[in-house]
Amino acid sequence: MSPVVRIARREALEMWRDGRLVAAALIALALLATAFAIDWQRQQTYEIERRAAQALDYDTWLKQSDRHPHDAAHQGMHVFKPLPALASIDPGITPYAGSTIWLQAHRQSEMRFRAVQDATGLQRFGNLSVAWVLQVLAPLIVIVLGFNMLSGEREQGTLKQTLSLGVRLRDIVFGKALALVSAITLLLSPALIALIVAVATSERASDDGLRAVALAASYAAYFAIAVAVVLAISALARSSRASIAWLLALWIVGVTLLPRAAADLARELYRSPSRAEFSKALDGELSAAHEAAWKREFSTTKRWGTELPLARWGEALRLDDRVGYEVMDKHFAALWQSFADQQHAQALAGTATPILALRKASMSLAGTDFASHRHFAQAAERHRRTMQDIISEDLVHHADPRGAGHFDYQANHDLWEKIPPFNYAPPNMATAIKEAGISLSALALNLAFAFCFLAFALRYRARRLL
Amino acid sequence: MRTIGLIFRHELRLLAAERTLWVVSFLIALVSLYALVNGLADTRERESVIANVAEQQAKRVPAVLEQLARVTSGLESPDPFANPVDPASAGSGDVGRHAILPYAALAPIAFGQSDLMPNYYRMSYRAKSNFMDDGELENPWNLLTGRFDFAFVVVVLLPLAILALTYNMLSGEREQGTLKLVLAQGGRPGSLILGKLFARTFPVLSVTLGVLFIFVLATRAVDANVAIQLIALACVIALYSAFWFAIATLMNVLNRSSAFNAIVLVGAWVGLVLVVPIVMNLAIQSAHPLPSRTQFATQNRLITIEGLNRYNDLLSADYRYVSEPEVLKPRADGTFDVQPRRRAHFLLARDVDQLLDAEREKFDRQLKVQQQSVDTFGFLSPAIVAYESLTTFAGTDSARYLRFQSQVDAFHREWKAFFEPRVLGGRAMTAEDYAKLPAFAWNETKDAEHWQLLFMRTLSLLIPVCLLAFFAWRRLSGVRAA
Repeated sequence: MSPVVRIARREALEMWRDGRLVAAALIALALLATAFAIDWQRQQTYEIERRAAQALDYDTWLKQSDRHPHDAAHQGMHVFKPLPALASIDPGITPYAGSTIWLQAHRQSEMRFRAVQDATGLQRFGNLSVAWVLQVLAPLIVIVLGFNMLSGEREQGTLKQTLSLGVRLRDIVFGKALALVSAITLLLSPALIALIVAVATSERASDDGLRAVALAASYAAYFAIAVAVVLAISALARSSRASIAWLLALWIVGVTLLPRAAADLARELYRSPSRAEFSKALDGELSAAHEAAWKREFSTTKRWGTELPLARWGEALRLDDRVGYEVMDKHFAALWQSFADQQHAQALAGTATPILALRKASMSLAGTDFASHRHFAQAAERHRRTMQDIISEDLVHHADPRGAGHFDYQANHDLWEKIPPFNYAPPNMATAIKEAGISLSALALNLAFAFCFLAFALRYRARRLL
Repeated sequence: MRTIGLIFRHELRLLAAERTLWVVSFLIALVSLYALVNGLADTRERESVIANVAEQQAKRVPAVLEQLARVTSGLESPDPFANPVDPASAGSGDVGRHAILPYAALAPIAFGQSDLMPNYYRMSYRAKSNFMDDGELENPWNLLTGRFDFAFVVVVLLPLAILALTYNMLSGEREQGTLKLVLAQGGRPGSLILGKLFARTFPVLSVTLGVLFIFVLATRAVDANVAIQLIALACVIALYSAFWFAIATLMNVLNRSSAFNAIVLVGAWVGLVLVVPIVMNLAIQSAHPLPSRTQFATQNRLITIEGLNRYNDLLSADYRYVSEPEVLKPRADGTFDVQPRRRAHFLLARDVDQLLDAEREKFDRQLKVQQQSVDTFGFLSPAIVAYESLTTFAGTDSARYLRFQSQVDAFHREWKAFFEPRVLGGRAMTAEDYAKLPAFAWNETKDAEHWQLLFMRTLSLLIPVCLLAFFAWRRLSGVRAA
């Protein structure tokens, strides 16, 4: 048996004996199992409801009575954002972003029904999920299991003894790292099982399978960083007490302080408007654009006034829509871009604190990040515009020729059928990887740093010991 | 008592001589100040938004009245969809009346739900789904992360500062061998620990509260009421700190090593500050689930379609003002020809609200039950109690936003009731009508309720502190010198 494996076995036995491993395993199991059971069940229920609601919504659209197309457009359609299977592992921003868009005439709507609005203030403490346990608590478990692995041996004088037996320091460290990695793998195996269950029950199993592999790899890199840093500090620290103090301080700063500070900084760097500012700017530009267009087409700036004959209402609605698309695209693009920039800035800050990099990568891979949210919102808006364009064309061709009898016109099933059902395909794995690019690079960089740090710590310690 | 004083002064001198206390105090002062500045910047921004809304609102009615005078005297031909005579125009939002929730004086201490829930709604008789379901505009990632506010400093960081100063109060002395000396000189463990405790409590609390007091007094309008709240707030912070001091004291009299104390205390912090709140959140949501929003959207849809069918005749009637512009003016008998399509829209909104209110009610009821559960079981984690108290003082707690929404709902009913006879009965709007327009007045909770809640919260902090102190006292005689 190689010395590495022998040392690893001895370490594992020790962790087992002093109860740390058992305690950590029980806590990890309880939290992971609860989080996954609830999130998985939520995801499944939501998806069943969503499909039923989406089908019913279109069915209602098709079966509606004859009516004026503009009234039909006002009532519009609802579209519901699908919840990816991996949301049961990492719900990401899901509870903080809406799920439903009401596609109505005139204006691009936002997603409504954010789960956080339907919750108490406790929701602001965070969201229990498999991802949360892995991101926040797992590094702490690594710390508690490993903080005295090297410092403890040094304090007891056993490190020198072992070295004098001819065992290389490198082998000792590898043995301990192996023990730590095995322990972590064992502790977090419920998360792996959860991941497999989520993929197995997914309808897009092949895409989700690939995502899951990338997800597992990212988390593995994160834990590797934790293991390397814990061993390095345990090697460098003067005592076990100093080692735990340094590691806890690092963990607290990295996990609680920096994410919030980074969010604040990102908000300062890329300002996003308040609702009032956003509405004011959008409304102002919309009415200016509308006025200009009306002046050009109808030689009046007074909208829907007596100057516009009813015979041109369909035309005017069509004009309004077309002019509005561009303005809304501009404003929504700027708003979303500010959110995306804020998020990217925080992923970049992930070079300083790996949790930020992992968080972003994890959400992107799970399909629960802002990019996925935006992708859906854009698809929904395209669908709204398809609906609007078809309806306005119909008004121009059928209602406008009736002159003063514009609103007597009633469209029927033939028109309703022209509007296609809303079929949405979420972005695939390749898009997600691209979106996670910065954060995955930041994570890789962190990993490289951590290993360099460990190598440095070992060299330093080896020199001191000799 | 004299011994305690002696140890207190001695400890202060010792602490002042080494770095830890200075570093910890400096860090607390720094993060508190940063958090407060952060909160103030945001509060000021939001306050300017609602001040702007209020200003626009104040200007709007006189402008509408002037236009009304011009229209009735025939000087101006009115806009069909912004006609001051038309109750449908006035009622659907043209008068720019808003329901506004003011920010509290202590708002900068906690963002709470203010980045999520709107503080104002523009009133109209349109259905609530048209204006009450939207939230504030904020990056969901930031909502998930949370902001760096004073509540975060107090709830999350302050305990860590306290634990860093106290985890080895006795164990450190024991490990250095100095505990034996002190006890041999006749010092009693009780006096020793109290002296040490006070020497740490005093600087930590005076820095935290000092920064808070100076900042609030310098930047906010503080009247007697706010001053009382500020003192109550200080008590809550002191009690919450006392909890962490007490738990550290208990660990110190158990004769374990400093490293062991550190791990257990950080474990307690992780458990009480990070884990219990989110597990409780999940538990409460599972125990009192809200109805499905997906189904709610579907119901909205079905109800709207029924309404469209019901009023199809009215909706099919054409706008007559193009061929007969005089319909835009009030008739001599004070009646007004409200366009049938607009009457249909009023009826539609009324019906949708009526039929959907029962559903909305279910959401509100469950959310209230959830909030009650937080109030009931919050004592399981002092962090929850502290956070809830701080957001209550800041006026950014979810309960206050729920009350605001329910008051907006009542105002919306009043608004619709005011316009119903005018829109459906075709009564032209007059200057007297505009004078009688319902206005929203925010009604803050009754003081009694507020103080009762605060009392319960204080109690749920005080009881664990007393229990911990009692256990620590019981173990005092067992303190070993080596």
